Amino acid sequence: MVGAGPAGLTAAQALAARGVRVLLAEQGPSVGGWAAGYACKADSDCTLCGVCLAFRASRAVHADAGITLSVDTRVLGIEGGPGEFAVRLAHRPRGVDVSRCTGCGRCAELCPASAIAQPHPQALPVAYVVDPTACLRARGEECAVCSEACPFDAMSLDDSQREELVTADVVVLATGFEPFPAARKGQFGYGRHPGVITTMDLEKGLWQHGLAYLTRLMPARRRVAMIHCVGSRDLAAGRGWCSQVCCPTVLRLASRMAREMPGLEVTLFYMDLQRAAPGVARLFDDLPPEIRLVRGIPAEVLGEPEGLMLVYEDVATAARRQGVFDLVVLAVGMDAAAAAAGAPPLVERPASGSAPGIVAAGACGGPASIPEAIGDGLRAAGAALRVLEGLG
Amino acid sequence: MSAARTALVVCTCGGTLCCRIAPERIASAPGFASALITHDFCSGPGRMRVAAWLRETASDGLVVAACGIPSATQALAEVLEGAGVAGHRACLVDVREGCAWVHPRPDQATAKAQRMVAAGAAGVAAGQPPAACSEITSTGRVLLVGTGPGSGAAAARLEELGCEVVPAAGTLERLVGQAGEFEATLRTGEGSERHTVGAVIAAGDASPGLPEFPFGRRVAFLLDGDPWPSQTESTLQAALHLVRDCGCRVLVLFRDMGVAGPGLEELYTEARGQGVTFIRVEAAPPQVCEVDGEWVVTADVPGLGPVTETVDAILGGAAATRQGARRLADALGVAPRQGGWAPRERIFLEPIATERNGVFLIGGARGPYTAVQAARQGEAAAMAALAVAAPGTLAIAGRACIDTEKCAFCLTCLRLCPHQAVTTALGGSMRVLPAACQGCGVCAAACPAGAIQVAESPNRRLLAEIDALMQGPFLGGAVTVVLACVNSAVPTLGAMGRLRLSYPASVLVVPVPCLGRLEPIHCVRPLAAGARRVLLCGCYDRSCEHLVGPASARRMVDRARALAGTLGLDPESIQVASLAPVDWHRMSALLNAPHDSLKVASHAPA
Repeated sequence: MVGAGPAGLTAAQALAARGVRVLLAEQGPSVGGWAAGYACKADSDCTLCGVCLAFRASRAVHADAGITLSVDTRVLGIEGGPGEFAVRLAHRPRGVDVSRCTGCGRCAELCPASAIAQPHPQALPVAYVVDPTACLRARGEECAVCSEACPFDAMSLDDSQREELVTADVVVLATGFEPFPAARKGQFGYGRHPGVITTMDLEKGLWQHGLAYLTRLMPARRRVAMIHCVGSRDLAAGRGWCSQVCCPTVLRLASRMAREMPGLEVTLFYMDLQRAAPGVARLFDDLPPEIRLVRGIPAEVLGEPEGLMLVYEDVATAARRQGVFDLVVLAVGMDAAAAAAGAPPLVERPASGSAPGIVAAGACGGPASIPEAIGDGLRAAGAALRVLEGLG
Repeated sequence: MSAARTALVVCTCGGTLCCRIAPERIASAPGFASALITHDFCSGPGRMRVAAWLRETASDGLVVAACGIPSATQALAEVLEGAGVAGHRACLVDVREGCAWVHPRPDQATAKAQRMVAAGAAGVAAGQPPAACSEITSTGRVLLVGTGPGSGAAAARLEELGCEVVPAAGTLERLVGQAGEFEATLRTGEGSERHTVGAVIAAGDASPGLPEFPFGRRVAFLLDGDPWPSQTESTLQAALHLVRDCGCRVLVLFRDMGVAGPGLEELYTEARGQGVTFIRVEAAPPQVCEVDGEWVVTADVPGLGPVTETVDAILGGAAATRQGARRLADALGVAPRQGGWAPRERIFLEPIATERNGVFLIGGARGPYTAVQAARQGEAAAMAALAVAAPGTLAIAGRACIDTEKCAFCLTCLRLCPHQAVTTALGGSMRVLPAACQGCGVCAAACPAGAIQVAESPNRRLLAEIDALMQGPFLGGAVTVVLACVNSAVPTLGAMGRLRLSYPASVLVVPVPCLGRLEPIHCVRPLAAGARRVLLCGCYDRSCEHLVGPASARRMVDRARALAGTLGLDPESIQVASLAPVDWHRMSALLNAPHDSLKVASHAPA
């Protein structure tokens, strides 16, 4: 099982429940994928974004004795066929032994270079991670402060990357997605104007810092523009598909912000508002007056002294309009992970799962919300089980 | 139980907690037969040492004061097994994330840890052995209702995985029983049929498709209402067919094009390329009138003004109907959500489940999904059905259990159970179906006769814990008791610990399996014992794993407030709040808010 996002977690769990031994390889330091870094988007009630589903799946997989979880692990290559796959794995040194660390935090307290941290406060496994670019020892100095202080003898600073060859009967690829690189749409000024962020930034900011994230970005005034379809439905950007999850995400984020921040004005710039997702129709029907809808995608975002100026066309009158905002949020689309990373695909067309014995699950096969990815993980588990049963 | 020998283990987390709480003072708690201070409870050697010590001291109960990480839970399970101590005679209290890391004053953190240990001991003393396991034998048959999109994919996958597919020949009338052994009644042309099946997958009806051709060369489709992907799919496929194969001129009037489904944007692009005319109608719906056997459509197009087109036929977007979905949901015993689609909007029922274990809704039976989405759901449902319907015998641990001696047959439990897990057994008594029961305890909390107990944490145990927590004046000041849902509130407290986000030590936390489990006495007892407020902290309505926990809790709180009023206690000091397991900021705000501001902050939607 490659990838421990919602799809991979679900597929691993479903297969383990059928008595299949699962090795779950995750390249990050903890499980959950992107979904483990999203904020709760409830307004007065849950809006069914699925963050809780991913949270529950992470906990269940971590506690499942039938699943061998291997974090910090990348897949270098897959060879062979059903019943005889050889999978080459690379284990990145974490600096901390996952099986020994209890998350007590002694190392992080004492580290003179502040090089040790937990991936996030609800990360599973709970083990800390050493940043090799900051660690004094990794940079050649004689420092062993953490190793000497760790009560559990869990520091492993001198580890280096280790390769491993494992065999498998069937491979499930659940490598997920990458957000569209927003800077490629230069007209929106992402990376140039600090007031231009993406929905991914907003999710992460709200999750990590709560509303303080927004008050820091907008100390005085509260005018927010959210631009849909950045890197979706855009043949010029090479993305002729609808990413499906962004409209619901924007509506959820806008509703939460409008509810929790009095005085906030949010304007959504959109093409067609996709609101058929569970929990979202209600948001659209009860849209508060603070949320304004404008059909059409702005041409550009200009940094002006009074704020960020958006130039757009009023579809109703075909007139050119301008609006000044304090924060611009770009609703970035979803790319399949392999394509975005620029790395050579693991197998021929991994997303299609066309190679025999290799099954694709979740957003690597196309845009998917968290609940859809979870459903697709179940589907992929069934497909993998069929391959296994075919082997006899 | 008189010879109970309960032991206490205090873990210092490698000594790192010693400067924040006083382990010796916690270990000297009264009421324990023996106590041990350890430094590495969760490690392999630590587990073995504790298990050996328990055997030496002949302990039959255990309270561990340690941390909230998964390996501590695993360690406890292993230690209990190694020492032969029953699971219901043990408990783990989190004094690391829950005390040492969040309360800067060691004296207060220690005092709170002592209370938590006392509550744990009281809980262990009140623990009850779990109900007996029951066996359910499934024949591996799965009932497939409807021929809508997704049914074919579900059937194929079920057969590949060794299940027998029973296609519903007729209308489903009734479904009784539980996953693994449902009894389905179908009405057919000749009468009715009964089938015993392990699971049910309902796919709904196939969409009606286009009316019979010919209907002229000029065709308009009117798409109004919500932009449903299924509507986009069927309309654009029909439009392409009419343009390519029948030489029609096709007009699509729409407001929002619902392209949020696999391949739909590509389909939309293709339809435009093939010459289908799309007219976006922004404000008012298009006007239609008949003139000499032709239809004249007038639409107000933004930027252009009124546009008039004459056509021979006007078609709506063929889409799955809610009506059929609603009828099906009734027969399956799953409540339709607002607006008619089933099931109810609950995140833990997405993407295929229903409130009834073993019953799955896909495709048009669930919502306006496209054929591709429905097929994916069908294959996912096949895998999920396998978990409950695979041929063979499953042993299922009992959760809720009804004492037939006490049961007054008032049917409250039957009415309130969100999972259809309560049934009337032969001979006029109530019975819980173990494969349907999710252990939420909504029934136990509402039973007027107190006849229902939920095995893992009976209400008596919860009350014993609360009483022990409130025993005597607390040094940290006026107490707030947080009744914390283990699915949402408890994980946020863990995150606050790891972030060292402090809150007053006078906040005493009692983990509860679901807010729906609570009774008025659980809220009022702490107030009577001097607590300043009682905060029920759980999920949102739509994010409750048990579906009705928060709603049940709000109704219960009304009664609890009335009870508090009659006892001369402040009814307003009982409050309910909702949060997600990942929203520790909200928890921090709730726990650090001044008493009065919380009255405003806590919300209770009607």
